Amino acid sequence: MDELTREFLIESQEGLDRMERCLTELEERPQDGELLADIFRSVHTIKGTTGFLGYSRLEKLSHAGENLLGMLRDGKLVANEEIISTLLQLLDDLRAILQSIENDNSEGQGDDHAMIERLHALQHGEAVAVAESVELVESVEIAAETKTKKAGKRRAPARSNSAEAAGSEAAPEAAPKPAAEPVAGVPQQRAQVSAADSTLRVDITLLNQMMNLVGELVLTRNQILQATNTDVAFAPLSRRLDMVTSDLREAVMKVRMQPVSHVFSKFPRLVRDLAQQLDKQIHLELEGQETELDKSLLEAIKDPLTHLVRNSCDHGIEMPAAREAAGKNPAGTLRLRAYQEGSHVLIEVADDGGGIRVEKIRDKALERKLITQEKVAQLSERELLQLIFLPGFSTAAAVTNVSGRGVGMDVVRNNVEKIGGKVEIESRPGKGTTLRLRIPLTLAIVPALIVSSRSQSFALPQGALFELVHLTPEERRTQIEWLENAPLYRLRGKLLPLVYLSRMLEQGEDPEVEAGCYIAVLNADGRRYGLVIDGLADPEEIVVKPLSSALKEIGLFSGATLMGNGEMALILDPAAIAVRAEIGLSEEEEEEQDQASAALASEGEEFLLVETGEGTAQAALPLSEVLRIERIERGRVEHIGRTPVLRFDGVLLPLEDSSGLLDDVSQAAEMTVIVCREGTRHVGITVAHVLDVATGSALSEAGTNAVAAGVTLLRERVTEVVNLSRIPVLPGPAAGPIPGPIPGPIAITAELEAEACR
Amino acid sequence: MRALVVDDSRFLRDYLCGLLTGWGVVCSSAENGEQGLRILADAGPFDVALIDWNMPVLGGLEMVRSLRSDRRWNGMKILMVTTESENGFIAAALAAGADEYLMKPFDEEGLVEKLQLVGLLTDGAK
Repeated sequence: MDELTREFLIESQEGLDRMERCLTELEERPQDGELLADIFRSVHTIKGTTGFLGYSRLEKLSHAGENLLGMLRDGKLVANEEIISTLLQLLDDLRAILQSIENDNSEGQGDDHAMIERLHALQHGEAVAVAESVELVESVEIAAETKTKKAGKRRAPARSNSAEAAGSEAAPEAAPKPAAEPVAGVPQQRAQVSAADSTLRVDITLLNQMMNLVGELVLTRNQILQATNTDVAFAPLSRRLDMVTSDLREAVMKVRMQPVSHVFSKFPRLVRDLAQQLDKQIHLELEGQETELDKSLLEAIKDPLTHLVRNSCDHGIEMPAAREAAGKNPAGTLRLRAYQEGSHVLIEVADDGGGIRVEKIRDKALERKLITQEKVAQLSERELLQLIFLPGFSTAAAVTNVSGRGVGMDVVRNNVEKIGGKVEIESRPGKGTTLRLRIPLTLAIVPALIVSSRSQSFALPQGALFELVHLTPEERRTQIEWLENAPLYRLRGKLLPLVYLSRMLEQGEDPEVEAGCYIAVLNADGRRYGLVIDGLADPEEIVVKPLSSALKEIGLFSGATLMGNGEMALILDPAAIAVRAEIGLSEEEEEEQDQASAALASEGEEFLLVETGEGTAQAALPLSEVLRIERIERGRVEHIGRTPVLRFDGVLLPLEDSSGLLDDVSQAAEMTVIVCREGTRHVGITVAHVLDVATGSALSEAGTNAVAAGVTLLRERVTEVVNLSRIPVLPGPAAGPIPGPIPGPIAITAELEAEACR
Repeated sequence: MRALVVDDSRFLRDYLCGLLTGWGVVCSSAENGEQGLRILADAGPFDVALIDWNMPVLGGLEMVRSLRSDRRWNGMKILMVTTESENGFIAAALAAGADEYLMKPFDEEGLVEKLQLVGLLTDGAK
């Protein structure tokens, strides 16, 4: 296919996408001149260009459409339900032809006579199928009415036109003219269009190639950073390489980002069509359309998301009569919401429908023999809900052509998990169902903790990692309990099933338990367990490389990576390990968290208890502000003016050294730095010892009711709370927050325990 | 020779510029009338402007009017690029100061013919 034809296809497809958006908006504002001009132009441009390439089917079809649109634009005709439906049909026909051209460079066999006739007829104000259109008008009027009731400010669009048009040629004159609506969305959308004008198209393969190169660069940087730890003269150079690499990586990743509106924009049409097909009234709300996601991920969630929307329309939202009987608004609401949370983008599909009846799921699962009677009796409500993700499960009473196309929720889940995402479901009978897709911002580079088992290194993605527990040899012998061959650990009074990585990987029997070990507390797909490993190394940002099929077959690894020291490491797949180890879904996790937060609320803030110097009094750091505890070599600390700074993850961290540990030559070569959040920046605090985590209670000054600032009661001792804000701000941009995902407070427990046994 | 192509369709800009540069014409392009006027102000004058009728922001007719009210562009030839459904507007375009019109779809010969009609691209320059 030549360049011009390709150009034509891309441009026409874009035009039709825009037309689709505008048409659904037109339903709300049938006389918006700008909207009409936009729609007209889309078809007009196609018509104007097809002639050059000799696509006669396209030309005839778009010509007929253009004529009708011209009359709408010039106000000789007012758009009604029927006209909009026909135009949407025209849009589909045009798309089909474009698709055919793209496939085999021919317009394909198709008869457009009926469509052209219909367009002509509408032009002359004739309703094509009178009976049908009257019926349509009725249902739409109801919808319009309820919408007015609900929204209050929204006017009912003048859709009664088609009925009038059916009877009279003078439809436009007879049509009541809706006043121009003050719709906030319009200027915003215009702004978006002009923003798109200033963008550049880049071949996605080129972008992928760039991403790969950046990945290689990140790896090389990691290696160089490690190598330069020993050579001081090389430090400034490697620091620069570090920063440039980080910036470049961020920039390339940004290029790949696209707003989710690219996917959301097709839903107004979809929902509208579904609602008509199903005789339901559905009001669609879109939220957070500007949220950005990596282009390839956006592509990957398109189908799962469409499926969820179809499902909600079909099975979620009830028929208007049923809704009214239940005391709800006959028009259901479907809310699509996208927002960013840390290094993930969350996309919710929420309906206010009937919710999922757990009993129905149980019966269905039993009927389809997906689960045994004995097993089902043990399942909690939450676990029962999860059954809908099983292959071969469908809750629809009847297979409909809306969502019953043989694609089940298991496919949705698989597709989302393939890109490292998760699907969560919440449902309340009578109130509605929310499905939530949790998608990583990007796939290529993930933060991971390097762990070792039998002196082999593995990367553990931090997304699944909740906390780390260190066990001394003594504790290892005494605190791991065995229940019929199943190892368990009592974590804060709760039993945690354990999986020995070395056994899972058949790395040979345990040597006599001489050494301590670590338990990585993981949560993968609602399965909570502890992975027992021998050692920990640094967290690293790893570049995910696909596995060869031989390694893939093992099923416990999701990829491989090259570490900073140049060694290979396989990336562990926490979910696959949990399944292999037959770890069940944990139900109390949420409760536990609720309880924990409730306990927190009643007892006060949690603090990290430290000694800032040898033998000095203990000081407290608010745990919520603590990001990580790092062991660093003293040689890495540099100075800007009098402020000691630490290069950390590519940025400079100002250090607070209240007890002069930095200048104390009697101290060991390694020291502990606590990285904390202070407002939008991050700061480091040198400490001699990390003692514990404890809950503090507020103290009030004698004689007043005021809470004393800067102190808290910890373990019956009045303790000073370190004032992070007094740490000087560095000049220049280096004082900004640390870019990229900062590993959460996961490292704390381990370091704490490790520190405690030193 | 220098030409300015003003059209909101990328396809058409590429098509026209492709033909023109093939004949050694230096070609600039804009995607609406407003952008066209800006390019003229920055890089004008041009020997000829080929202007589409229906464009967002600033349409072809408005652009022609604006061009013809500015004496700097007096010597520039204006070709209005239209489709047959805009037939009735040709008169308006000519009245506003366009020199010729070019009906979509056109081929190489059609373009050469019109350019020759306005006195450009003479004697087998093609």
